[in-house]
Amino acid sequence: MFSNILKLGWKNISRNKKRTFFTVLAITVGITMLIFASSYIEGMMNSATEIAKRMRTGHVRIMTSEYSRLERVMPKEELVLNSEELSGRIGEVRGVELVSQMVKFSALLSKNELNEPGVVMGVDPEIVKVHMGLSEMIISGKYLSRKKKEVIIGKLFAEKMGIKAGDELLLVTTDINYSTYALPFNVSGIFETGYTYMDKHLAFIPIEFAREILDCGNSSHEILVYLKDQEKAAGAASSIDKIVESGRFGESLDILTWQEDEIIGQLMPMAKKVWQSILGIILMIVALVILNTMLMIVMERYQEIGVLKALGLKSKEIFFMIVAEALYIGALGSFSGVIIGSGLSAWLEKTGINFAEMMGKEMWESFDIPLALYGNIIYPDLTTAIVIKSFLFGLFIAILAVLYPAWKSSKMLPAEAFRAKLKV
Amino acid sequence: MKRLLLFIIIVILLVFQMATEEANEPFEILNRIDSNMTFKNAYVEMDMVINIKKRKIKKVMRSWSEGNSRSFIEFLSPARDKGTKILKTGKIIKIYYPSAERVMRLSGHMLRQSMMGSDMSYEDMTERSKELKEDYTGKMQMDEILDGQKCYVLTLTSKKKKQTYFKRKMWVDKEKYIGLKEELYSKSGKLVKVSKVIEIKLFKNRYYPVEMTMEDKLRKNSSTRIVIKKIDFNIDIPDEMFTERMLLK
Repeated sequence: MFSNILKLGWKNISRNKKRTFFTVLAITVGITMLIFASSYIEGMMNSATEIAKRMRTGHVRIMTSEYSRLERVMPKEELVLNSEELSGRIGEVRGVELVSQMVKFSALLSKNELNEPGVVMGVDPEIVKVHMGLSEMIISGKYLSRKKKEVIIGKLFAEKMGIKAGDELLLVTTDINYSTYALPFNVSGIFETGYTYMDKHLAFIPIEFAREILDCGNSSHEILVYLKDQEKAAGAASSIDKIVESGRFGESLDILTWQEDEIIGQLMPMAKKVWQSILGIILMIVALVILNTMLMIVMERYQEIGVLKALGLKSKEIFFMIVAEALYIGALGSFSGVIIGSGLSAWLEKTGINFAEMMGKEMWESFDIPLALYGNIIYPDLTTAIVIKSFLFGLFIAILAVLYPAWKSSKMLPAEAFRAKLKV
Repeated sequence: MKRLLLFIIIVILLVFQMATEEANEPFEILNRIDSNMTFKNAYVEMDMVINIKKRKIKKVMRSWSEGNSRSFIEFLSPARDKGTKILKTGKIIKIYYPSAERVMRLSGHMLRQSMMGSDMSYEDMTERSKELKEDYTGKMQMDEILDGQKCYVLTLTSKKKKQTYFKRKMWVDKEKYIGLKEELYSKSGKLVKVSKVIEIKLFKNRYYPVEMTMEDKLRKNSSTRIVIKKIDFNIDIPDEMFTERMLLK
């Protein structure tokens, strides 16, 4: 009996091909949008977390608590002491892959008559190459070499000052004892990260010269630790804590896992909520479109249902017949939506969506926000969870939409159904 | 006889009134401050003590200045500052860094940056012989007593639109005509700096502050004290002093 009902439902949807096509199309478009929006948000959040880990937090980050509190003003004298020794010992901790020391300070960068304030990062070029991938972002000249008085600067900074690879740049700042110190550097290369803040303000030099300028011995401001398995950050942090306790590395050091970072831990979940509420609105629109078309296909067929009833179909059978139709249409629409949406997202996952080009370069480059986490190209991230959730959502909404009219029409007497016009 | 007495009294009163009126006039007060503070040229040896975050950093320097337009400052200590030289000609400042063996040129708003980590800006340090009466119009306020010293209180407003310290409030020593305390405001009315004079000395024909402090109100917990160890006014300074060649020497 039940299989007959299912067959009848199938026959019904194949009978009026135009109606079925447009209903399926509405669901397809809705689900495509949903999949694309979800994987876009996923991709944006993941790449922001990824870049934050590569540039800012590592998997575990060590600095003085005062430095962590005043990070925005970059207090020069807040140092992790004996940083070389500490880094060496952290390197021996199990699961640690890379230890990157950084000396960070604001300075005046000067060329001939032009002076521009910037943020100088003293790093080990060979280590930073691994976790920041800076060497691949060089657009002219070459990457930094160890032990040479070389500097690499961002593209926008270089443009502003009219600097080319090979030029000399003078770095001037006050050291930790408030003496003014300057060193000339050779601009070995210019990098472009796509992050406006970095391209506009950052300059990288080998760490030993940063230490010379600040007169800070072998200490550093931050130590970033990278692990083989980033999920084991908490364990690594407690091992590092023991090392810190045992030596003289400065007063009250903060040892933070990447999950505890202010940006990854607080700012990004907040941003995610904002995006999710936008997704919620998209979801509602998709649901309304599906509800509307599904309602219509039942309501315009009251007379037909009256005939079926007159032929002897039971109320229950009418109800399940309509639900079965909804199931077919929902499945068809969701399935094609999944195919198109996944295809689109997977394609954009490879090519990326270039916002700088879409918005115009000038406007993009005016977004000069410190710690901005969005690059100019966003790669959507399609996950199985997104695909499954979207498919089920389409199916669920399609069925939900017909439950009430199906119930209502199944309860109608044939005579009522014949007379019923387009109203519920 | 009575008439004569009355006449004399009237004359005395008039003279007295004129004298007090004259002294009360803001322009005249500024004029008298300027005659103390400005000079044709001067050689100064001084210590600069920066107090910041419970630390004390002392720097020793000497300077040659010609009026308000040209000056040359050389740092003698500490070791990392030794040999740093600052040359100001007109509105341009050139700084020589011995560590880099390079000269950096500063102009425009950069002149308002902190000099060598102190609360003074390059402008504050190189324009010490600036005439107030030329740039500002003054207004008298109620007299006040500051640290037991009777003072005129003046508020000055810049005549020019572009002026680092657009408004100033000065407590002027009624006897010596030296600004004992000064509050410096930006154009938006924000208190930028406060300076205080600690010690004044009498030189041949003028009073001059030899110890003073300045606080940059935009920095937290910091002040800078300047102690003048030696000052010679109106000496001969060779023209060569104010050239780039002297920076590199």
